[in-house]
Amino acid sequence: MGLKKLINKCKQKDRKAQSEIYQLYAGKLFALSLKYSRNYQEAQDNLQNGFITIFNKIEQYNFKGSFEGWLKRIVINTVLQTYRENNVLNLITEEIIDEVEIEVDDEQVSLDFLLKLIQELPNRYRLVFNLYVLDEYSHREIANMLGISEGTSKSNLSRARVILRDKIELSKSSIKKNEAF
Amino acid sequence: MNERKNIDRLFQEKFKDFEDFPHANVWKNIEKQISKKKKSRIIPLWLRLAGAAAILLLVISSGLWIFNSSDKDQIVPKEIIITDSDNNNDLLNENDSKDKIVNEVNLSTVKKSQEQNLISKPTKEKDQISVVKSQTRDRNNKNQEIANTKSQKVANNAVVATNITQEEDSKNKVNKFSNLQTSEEGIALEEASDVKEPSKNDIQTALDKTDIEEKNVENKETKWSIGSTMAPVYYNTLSNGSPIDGSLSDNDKTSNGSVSYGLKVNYKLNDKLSFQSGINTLELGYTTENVATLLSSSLLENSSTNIDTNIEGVSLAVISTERQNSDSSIQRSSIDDSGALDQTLGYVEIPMELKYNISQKKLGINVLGGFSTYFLYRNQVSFTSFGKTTTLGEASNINSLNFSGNLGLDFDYNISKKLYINISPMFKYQFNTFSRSSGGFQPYYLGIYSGLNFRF
Repeated sequence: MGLKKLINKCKQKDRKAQSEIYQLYAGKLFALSLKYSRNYQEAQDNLQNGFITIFNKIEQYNFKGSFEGWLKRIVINTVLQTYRENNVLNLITEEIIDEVEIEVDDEQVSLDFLLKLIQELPNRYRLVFNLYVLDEYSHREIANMLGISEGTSKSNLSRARVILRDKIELSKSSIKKNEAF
Repeated sequence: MNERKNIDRLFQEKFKDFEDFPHANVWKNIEKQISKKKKSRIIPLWLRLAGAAAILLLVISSGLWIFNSSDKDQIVPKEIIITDSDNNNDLLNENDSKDKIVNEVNLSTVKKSQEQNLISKPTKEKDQISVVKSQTRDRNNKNQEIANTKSQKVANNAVVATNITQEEDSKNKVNKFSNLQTSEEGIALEEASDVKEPSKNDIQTALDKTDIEEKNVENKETKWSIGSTMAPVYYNTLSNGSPIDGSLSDNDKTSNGSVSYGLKVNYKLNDKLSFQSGINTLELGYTTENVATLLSSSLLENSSTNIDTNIEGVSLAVISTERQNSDSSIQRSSIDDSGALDQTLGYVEIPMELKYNISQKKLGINVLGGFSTYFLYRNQVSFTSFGKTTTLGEASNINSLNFSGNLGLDFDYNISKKLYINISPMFKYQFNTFSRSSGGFQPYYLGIYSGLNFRF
């Protein structure tokens, strides 16, 4: 069945089509949700809420632009919504620092480890890093989405990078220490 | 050996094809939620209706029970008096039974209070929820306060700490640590005030917009509704008068309870105004009391009776029994004082009404006004005397087409999105009912129209 046909069936609340759409996109969207959430449980909750919104609003998808992009925006929006409701974004703020290029040794670091690092970032650093680096939003868009200034967005990104680099380096040195023993 | 790599690229490459499947429960929960939404529109309504009915039933039945048991209470003492003379044992027994009854009464009151608890429970829960909410709100505020005071404290510590360092070098590390904290926290405070209100992003506004559009579409969908109507009708005149014969003006007239039924179509013009039409059958009947008939009498020459008989070669007049008794020229040996004249008019009614909405909640309240066109299909006058009913013929002065002005209230109660009950008490004043000599009869009728309507 073509995607368009499937979407149209979803618009008519066809349960089978909804299930198929879920099967098709749950993997990618859960990965997305994992990056934006603090832990596995939260990621599942966000995915669940995201899909509920998707199925309730699917008649609004008018086949302009990619469907996957539309789905991703809804999931991201769901995550942002929960942070807005809990008002956690405003509590983490810091000195504005300049954007810096940060390089790390390209050693074998596992995806799980990197995911863990992202999840451990303070909420807003995590959101900004995800939006800018992994989902290619501009600082202006991020500023709009999070209700912060562009400068704050840039600064958050730099701080996120520093934290990530430090943690990667730290893990490497501890690995080396372990090897020494 | 290891090339240095931009940290962004490292993450981008790693996460490029990242996929992970959630637990199967996630889909189950989603499925539950999206199917719940569909049903929740109907079920709570029925539940609420059923709940209201159940509560009403409980209140009434418990009320009746208390009433009945207090009745018993009153009866018992009488019995005691009767049995008193027989023996004392019986008296004791009666006392026992009295106690029992008292117990019963107590029981019933206990039950009643339990019911009241049941009723008040939901509101309590609501209260609790709101309490919890406000608590969390308080907590948020407190958190902020704590954050503020914390940073102040830390700042104090820092001052203390710097003092200490001047004296002791060994506590350097602690000092650095607290300094770091204060700077971060201080900045946190500064920036917190800078943070803008989170503005809704594009998706959200787009979704909101489409929400409104969706509502519009829904309105369009439910512009039409169709339903049945049924109404008991009460027919009467605003003034004394008789369309059958002017001389019967002062005779008592009573409405024959009849029923109007039909179909109703409603078209919503806008949120406030809708147009309503349909088709009803209507039978209006009334009885003129104390009437006698005269057949082919000399008096007929100057009679004003508006009845065409269906018996050939016979002319007919009606007079009041009062006159018959007093006028010696027309006195007869036997008259029935309870002789009555029935007039029945059957119409097909086509109403054209505008409905203006005053309040639209669960119960919609509307004012209704308009006019109706009537096509006569039944016209009959009959006479009942000595227990016999004779059809005299038809009234000769009824227009086959007439009109009425309509005014009324209209209550809509929504059972579901598609279905609603409609109750509307209407006053309809008729014009042009009679072609001539209406005898001062100003007919109107009252009807309480009710019916089940379906929106589509």
